[in-house]
Amino acid sequence: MIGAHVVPTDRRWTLPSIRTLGDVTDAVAAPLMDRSAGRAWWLAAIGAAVLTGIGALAVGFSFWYGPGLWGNNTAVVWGFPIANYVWWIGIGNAGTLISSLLLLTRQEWRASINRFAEAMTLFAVSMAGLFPILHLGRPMYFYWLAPYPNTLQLWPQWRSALVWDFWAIVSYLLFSVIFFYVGLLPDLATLRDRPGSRFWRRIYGVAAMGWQGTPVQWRAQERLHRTMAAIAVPLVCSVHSIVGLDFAASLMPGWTESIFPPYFVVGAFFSGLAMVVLIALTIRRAMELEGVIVPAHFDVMARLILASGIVMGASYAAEWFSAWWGGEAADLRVVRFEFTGTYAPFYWAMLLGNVAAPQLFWARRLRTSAPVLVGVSVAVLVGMWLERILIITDTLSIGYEPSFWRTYAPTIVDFLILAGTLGGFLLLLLIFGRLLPVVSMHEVRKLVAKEAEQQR
Amino acid sequence: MDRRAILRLIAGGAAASVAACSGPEEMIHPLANQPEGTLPGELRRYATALPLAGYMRGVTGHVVDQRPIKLEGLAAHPASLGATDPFIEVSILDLYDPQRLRVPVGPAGPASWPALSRALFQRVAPRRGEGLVLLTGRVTSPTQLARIGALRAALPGTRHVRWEPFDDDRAMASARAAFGRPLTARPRLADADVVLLLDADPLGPGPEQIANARAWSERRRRAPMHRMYALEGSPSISGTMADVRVAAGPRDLAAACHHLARALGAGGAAPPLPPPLAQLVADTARDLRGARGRALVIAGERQPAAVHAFAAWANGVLAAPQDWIAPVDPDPTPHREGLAALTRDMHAGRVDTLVVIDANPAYAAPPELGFAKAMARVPMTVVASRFADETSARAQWLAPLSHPLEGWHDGRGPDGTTSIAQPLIRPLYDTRTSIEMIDLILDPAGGPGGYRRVREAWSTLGDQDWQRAVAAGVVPSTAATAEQMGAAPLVLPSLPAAGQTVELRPSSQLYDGRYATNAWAQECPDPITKEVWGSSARMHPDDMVALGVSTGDMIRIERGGAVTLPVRALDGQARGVVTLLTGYGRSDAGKVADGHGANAWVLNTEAPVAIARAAGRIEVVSTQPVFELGGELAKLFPVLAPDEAMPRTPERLSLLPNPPARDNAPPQWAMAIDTDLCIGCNACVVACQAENNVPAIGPEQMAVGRDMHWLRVDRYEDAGTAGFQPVPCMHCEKAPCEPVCPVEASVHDTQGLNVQVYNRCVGTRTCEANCPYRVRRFNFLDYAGASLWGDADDASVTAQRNPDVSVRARGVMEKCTYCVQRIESANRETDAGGTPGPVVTACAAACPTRAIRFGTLDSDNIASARASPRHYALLEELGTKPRTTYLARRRNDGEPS
Repeated sequence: MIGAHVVPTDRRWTLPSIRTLGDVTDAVAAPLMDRSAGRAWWLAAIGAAVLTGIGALAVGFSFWYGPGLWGNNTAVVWGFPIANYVWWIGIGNAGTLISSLLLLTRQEWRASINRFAEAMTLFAVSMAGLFPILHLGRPMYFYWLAPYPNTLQLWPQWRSALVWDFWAIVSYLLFSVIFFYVGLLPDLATLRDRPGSRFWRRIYGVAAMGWQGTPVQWRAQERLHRTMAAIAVPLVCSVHSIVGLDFAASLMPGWTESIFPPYFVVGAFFSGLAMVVLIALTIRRAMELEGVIVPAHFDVMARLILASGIVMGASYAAEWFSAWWGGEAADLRVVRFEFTGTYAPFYWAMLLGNVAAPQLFWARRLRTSAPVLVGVSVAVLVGMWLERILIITDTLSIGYEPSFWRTYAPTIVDFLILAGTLGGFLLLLLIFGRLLPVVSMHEVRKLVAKEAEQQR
Repeated sequence: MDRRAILRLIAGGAAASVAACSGPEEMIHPLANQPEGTLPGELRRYATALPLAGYMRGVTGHVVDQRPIKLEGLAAHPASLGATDPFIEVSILDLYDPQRLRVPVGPAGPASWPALSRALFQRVAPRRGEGLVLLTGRVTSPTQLARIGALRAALPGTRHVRWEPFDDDRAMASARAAFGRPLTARPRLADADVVLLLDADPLGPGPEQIANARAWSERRRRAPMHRMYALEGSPSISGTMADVRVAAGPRDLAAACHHLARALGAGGAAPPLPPPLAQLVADTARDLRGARGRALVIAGERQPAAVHAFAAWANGVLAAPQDWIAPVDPDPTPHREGLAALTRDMHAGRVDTLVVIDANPAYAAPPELGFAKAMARVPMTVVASRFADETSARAQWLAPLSHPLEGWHDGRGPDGTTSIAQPLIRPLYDTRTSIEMIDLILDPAGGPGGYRRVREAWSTLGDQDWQRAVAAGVVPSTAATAEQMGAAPLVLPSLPAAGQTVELRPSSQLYDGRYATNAWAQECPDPITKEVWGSSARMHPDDMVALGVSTGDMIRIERGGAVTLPVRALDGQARGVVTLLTGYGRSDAGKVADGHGANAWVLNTEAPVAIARAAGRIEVVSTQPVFELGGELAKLFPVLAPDEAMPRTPERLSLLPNPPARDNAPPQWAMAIDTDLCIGCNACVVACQAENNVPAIGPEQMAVGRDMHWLRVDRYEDAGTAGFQPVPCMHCEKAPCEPVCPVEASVHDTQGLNVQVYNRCVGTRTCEANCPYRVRRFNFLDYAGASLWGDADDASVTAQRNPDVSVRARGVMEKCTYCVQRIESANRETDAGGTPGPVVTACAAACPTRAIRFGTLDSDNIASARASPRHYALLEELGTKPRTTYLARRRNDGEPS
């Protein structure tokens, strides 16, 4: 079980160690302002930086020599970069949904986890955003996807899902930054007003943009936050639908499926939640936030993972069913290839990770067991990554022309670039953990106040 | 050194670097006054000819700004008929190949032609040529023969030995036995209603491929449909195109001859036959008898003399459409015996000076001769060659030969037609033609040059006739006349003992090895296995199980010599027959040729065969993983009965119908490919490569699966039928690649072409991901700038490039354009008020059987194809409305109608 010091209490979302509103501020801000980075942080940061550097080097080599360094071939023209892109942007999904959807549905417990989940979104989308540019044959001309004014009076092809995607990523990234910042403002002011290093307080002060906590400011902030949340829900759904349309708006067997947009939204939420669980477990321990991130949070997230896992299983079944029901030879061939072809072991592994592993969460005990949470989350993340790569390779390896059935094998450069983005993501998270409050203090304070009121 | 000295040195250095960038010392002349009739960048066509195994085939050279850039067929030449084969197509790269030998090399390093001539003369003149041997390939050139004659007159001791690895000794021996003199049989496939191939491959690689394929296709177009039976040890092009084909090893083939002899009226024993073969023999005999005067039996070149004799007898009995002509090659000595006698003399030390011109016996000679060892016993060896090879590596003197396009030549085609071949470019390097090379032995000055010698040999032609013959590419009425021969006596082949046999076949890409240095040839997929940059031994899957190997495992084959090479399972291979392609396993031949495959020639002898497993695995890269079509896939390659029509597909309704073409709409281009006529020879594949600056990418990139050929030829087989399907871009009217390209690099033009704007492409590759035909090609690396030639300076290769076609950069998608440069060149001519000739794409121009037709939708050419009952579109059900469409393959295997 998580945390040895679980004691019976009426409060569901905070522990008795958090008594007053000041306790919240101290619990969150102390590791930031009062303590210097520990050995573990430095080790992790150096490791992440090294990994990032290796990835950057691999990217540099790819820019210098061309996409020929990867495993892609003339039939399987897409490979790791596109799979990585879809995976990373999917991970971003959970942060936005946790913040916005749960805010709109008044799930106060989200207060303890939304901040770092939003940060995770920001970083994951940043990593995702690299790949569409990186994967190009001529990356220096990526801006041709935008309708910038040019002497040739050329516009992009609006019918192409890749152009939709370009806008989806750009708007999602911009939106996430603003949404994150709006939620952060009161906390920045808290940090500014707390005793600590002058230098950092100045910086927080500038970033707080004159937040004084006046009722007018609070009202404005809450209204803006809520409005943005209302925009965020359809936005995040559209982003992942469009990612699905990159594949579905085609005529390739295994891709032209109307289920793809919703299935990509759920898949994204699913992998994102798994990542949130991993991050929550880590910071809870590393930053001594056991008081605000409690077993009940994990219980809820595990339930959500279980539910999404079931939806994923249903989506896969729908794919198989529609292939069988449609009777299209090409579609059947792809499904047969998924189960028995070259990549079959990976497909089975994907089903294991995405559908079978979350079933453990039917057991209440397992929903709050740290090792099980870690195991299932990693299984889901790996399973979802496999799903992304298999969507590409299964279809492209076994298209319409049997004379051109070709298999795909990634190269070391492919793996290094993936590792590099993992390193970059981790590095950004680590820096975030040292610079900004990982838990939304003002929202947790509200939660504590509310729970205290209920107790009374 | 003081400050001033340093400044002085710096100033001196700066001045020197300025001086380095200056024009030549002599006065140079800008092309201010254009020579009449020339325009920079304008394409000019010249007739000339290229030899293959000594036989000339006429070609048309496309020359731009004094550079030949592409070779096409020569309609007037009976061995070209306006079409080409892969060998002609790759020859243009040979001209610019960076690996070419550039200067004579002597025992002490780089030397000069006078030095070589002096050394030769000093050696041979005092002894009046005694001990001098000239070893060449087949010589049909009147000039060259005259020069050899002159050499012999001057140095009577001179001996000339000619030798081709793929000889016609057995056919000649059988003719000699039957008619008392050597004769060449020339089947007239255009007149044959029933053809029986006894391991013969008339449509396969060789000097007569184009002519045979054209004749065969002419007959196949005519109704009632002809029928071709094939009995062969390993799938060949002809076997693939046959209506009925049965795999048969040498024993079965001989037994089948016995049965056929009985059925055609001769007595004799009837050895047992396996059931499918017995059926084939019964059907064949019935059809042959029923088509007397129009039935033909062809024996394979490498079959024993007795099989040739049997075929000659059968053709006599059947009054077959076949001509006998006196051999075009005047040398009656059997190739193998000639070389064997020479090698014996070399071993015995009776050869003093050996001059090898354009032959590579150290690589291809039969193993028992030990030619390479024998060379070491000859005091002076001179090898004239275009590329370094196994023979030149063992020679003391190396003499670089000119490419045929660099000098004057002449020679006869397989039917005897003589061509006078003009050069299209001045020699790129300090090289000599083979005619000049012979002169060099006599004359330290090197003779008066190739032109004078050829002109001398044709002094009977007046100036005007000469000019006409050179411009036309053929000398009129020089074809050999058919001779009236009586019936040949019946000879029945003896039944060889059952057991393993090894069979050598010419590679469709490298022939006997002479094109192994050519990167385009190496990268051209084999018609049957689609292997590139190497070749496996072909075996029946059951034989492989018995041997305990699977595709890719190494086997060791011993017969005379020994080779170790990977094996490949091939359905349609006869049991007990292992087939190897020649031309691979080169050494000392440069970066392109060396190390790919194994040298099959070391097995070229009569000896017991031993085959064993060997350690290791090599998967030879094949561009096609699946050949067998079954179930739903069969609709990709429909096969019809002779009079069957394709099922009519109802017109599909569309929410986005194509707007009807308005009155002044530009011509709408389309292509129609007749899969019933495509013999999969790959001439179109290489023609496209040459025309469109398609880079060769090398074995490593091919292994990853990144082929760049814009046009591929798929081979499919299904239940007794096989065939080829060339797949260029379909130029779909509703192209799936167009709406998915985010930057509109893939767009449609007003002429119905699906065009790729290279400058606009950012390389998302979405278009290829969404192309159901998989015809788009991506520059994953800088293929155009990369060199496959190792350290050699490859700048010369760029001279081959077509100036009308963009060279594509890294990261750009490319694909078949329907040779848009040719279309636009015609449009320009129309705009200028001229009447251009019909536009022909490079692939259509190359096609020996004219299976590829190109034209506008309303042209007869295309309209008639589209109206054919055999017409179909590939993956029609996807609604892409392709402009490239197909005519279905037919198979005439039923009862005769």
